[in-house]
Amino acid sequence: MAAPKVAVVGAGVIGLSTALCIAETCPSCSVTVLSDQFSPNTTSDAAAGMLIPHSCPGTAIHVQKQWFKETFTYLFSISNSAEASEAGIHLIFGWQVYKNTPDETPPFWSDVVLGFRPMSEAELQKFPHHRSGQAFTTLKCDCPLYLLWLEKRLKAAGAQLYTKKVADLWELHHEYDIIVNCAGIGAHQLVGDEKLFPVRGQVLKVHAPWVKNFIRDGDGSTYIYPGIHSVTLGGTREKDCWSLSPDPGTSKDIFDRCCSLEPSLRGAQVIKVKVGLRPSRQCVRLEKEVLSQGEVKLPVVHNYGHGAGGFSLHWGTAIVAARLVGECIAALQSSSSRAKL
Amino acid sequence: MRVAVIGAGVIGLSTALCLHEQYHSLLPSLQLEVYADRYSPHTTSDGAAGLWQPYVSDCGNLQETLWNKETFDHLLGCLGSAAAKEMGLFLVSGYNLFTQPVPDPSWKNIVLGFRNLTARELELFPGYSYGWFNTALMLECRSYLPWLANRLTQRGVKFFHKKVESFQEVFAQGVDVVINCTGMRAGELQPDPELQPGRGQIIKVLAPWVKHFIITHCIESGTYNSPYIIPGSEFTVLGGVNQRGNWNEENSAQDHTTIWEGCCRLLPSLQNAEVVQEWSGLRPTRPRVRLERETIRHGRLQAEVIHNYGHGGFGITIHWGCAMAAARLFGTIIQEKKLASPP
Repeated sequence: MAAPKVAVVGAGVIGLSTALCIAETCPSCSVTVLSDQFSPNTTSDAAAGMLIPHSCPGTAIHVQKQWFKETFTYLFSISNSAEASEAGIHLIFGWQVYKNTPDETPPFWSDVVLGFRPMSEAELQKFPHHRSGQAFTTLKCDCPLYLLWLEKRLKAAGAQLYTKKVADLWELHHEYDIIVNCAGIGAHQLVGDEKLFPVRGQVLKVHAPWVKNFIRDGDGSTYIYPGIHSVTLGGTREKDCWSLSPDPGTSKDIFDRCCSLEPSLRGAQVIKVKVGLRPSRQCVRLEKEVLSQGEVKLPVVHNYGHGAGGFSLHWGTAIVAARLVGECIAALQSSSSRAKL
Repeated sequence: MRVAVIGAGVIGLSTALCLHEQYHSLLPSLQLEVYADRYSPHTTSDGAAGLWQPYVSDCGNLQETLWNKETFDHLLGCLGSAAAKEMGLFLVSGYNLFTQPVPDPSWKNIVLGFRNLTARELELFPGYSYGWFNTALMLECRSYLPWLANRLTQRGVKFFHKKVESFQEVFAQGVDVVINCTGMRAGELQPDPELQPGRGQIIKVLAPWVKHFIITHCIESGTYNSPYIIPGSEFTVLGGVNQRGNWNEENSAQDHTTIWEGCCRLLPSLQNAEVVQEWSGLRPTRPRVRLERETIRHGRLQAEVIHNYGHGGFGITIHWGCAMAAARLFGTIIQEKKLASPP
């Protein structure tokens, strides 16, 4: 067949990185990204982009670890290059603190981040409401810089990007050979995935450039993530809440909780409030599916449902999705050569 | 009792504040004045990045180590207060890099979370095979010095903008005790061959993605004669020059290149950083800090000088411990003069 035409639906961190991975591993493909939203209006743009994985109950630990490690390694080398500031990637050290001491075993990702260790007594004195903690250095991907950088790399690789609301994957079957579904929370509507649910997160972006270390409450409720141009204060985890409107009461609550962890934030000015719906699922849907309408077949690769782990796992899942696309291409090529016989 | 502090860098202003805080109620007659020809942002202290970090080796000087610790503990205590932001005080973490293993520093238990670097971390820094990671403090003088000056003004301390030419000049005006915090130019008031300039040059850039300090060490070159990168609240300071005996306060193009190339090699992302300012200053370097009393004949009277200068490249690091020590020396003086109110 002629150059396979691949459409990637979705332009958040998953869509763009998957499209890039496909463009790089399959240079003969033509890659087109279609999305109704681009940065700065994607779910990814609300995220702080910290590489701290969450545990995904439906995916084997060794698989999550592999995806995280591949993502970390990939971003680590960008952070250490001249492109780091344009890509919005930087290292950051900080503390994850616990009010109730968790079990002794370190998390699966402790040997992927740098310098992971328990916090010392002296360090814990800074957190009088907490009893134990972990210190480590990890990476942060600043949105929208990172998404804009991915878009730039995609264009350089010959990919096309179009604003388009895709209501049904079948709309695309005339123009494209393979569809890659990176619609995130949009997959609920797009492919009718009832197992996909939003976990609403509200964050404040504040001006506090003197905050150089991240702080995260181990229960996940409160976090302070210093980025390049602002510090992200969070957050909320509201299951099944679809509202994208910022709630002022929630903003005040987030601000107060963060000030209790880091008192110097009292003097910080709020730049903006953002809301994102984490596309949550028992596990990431990362698989091939062949849709059919009568005789017509449409190969689809799904890559969505990363919940709170989009940034942490994105490159690892992009690699798998690109491989699945390769398999779809091989299947199409063998069936088209069979058709010629 | 008139007391004149000469010098308005971090040493002068902090010593003045410490003295006033401790003695103004014990000594109702205390009249404190500050004399300086340079105030913030034109002092040596203003050029410093503001990182709390002593030299790698303390040369057996336990006294200075204790003063460093007192300073760190004092600042750490200020962190949770509302004043921290106004003071320019915040926590910062980062790397010290070496080309060979070195003994742990005297301050390893003063800073927070001190540890050796892992192999993966060292991959970030080709050419360096050993290092440390720890959390320390930043105290930016462009905020701290005005904060100190405000506190002093609130307490009724008077400031004079003038160059003092001699101790005698000040005593002749009726000052009883002089606190000599003249830093690099102490030799102009009293020759001191041990005080030498350690010329430094820095480039201030906009690089807000840099969250950690990175300080390299080269045994052959000497302290701070090797690239360093220190992120401030607004700008990142690039440096790495410490030229003994060089009195030139003009920026050198050669040094600019050395610093720029060295720092970009250390952190490639700096290549895209916008240069905002360049500055040179003289670290008042001495084998040890001169912190002592001296009685000076003034006609038929005896006048007292407390010297507090020669803090090299660790003025901010040691300032509060020295201010407290200077205040103790002052206590001795007023005890002798039997001026202090009974407890």
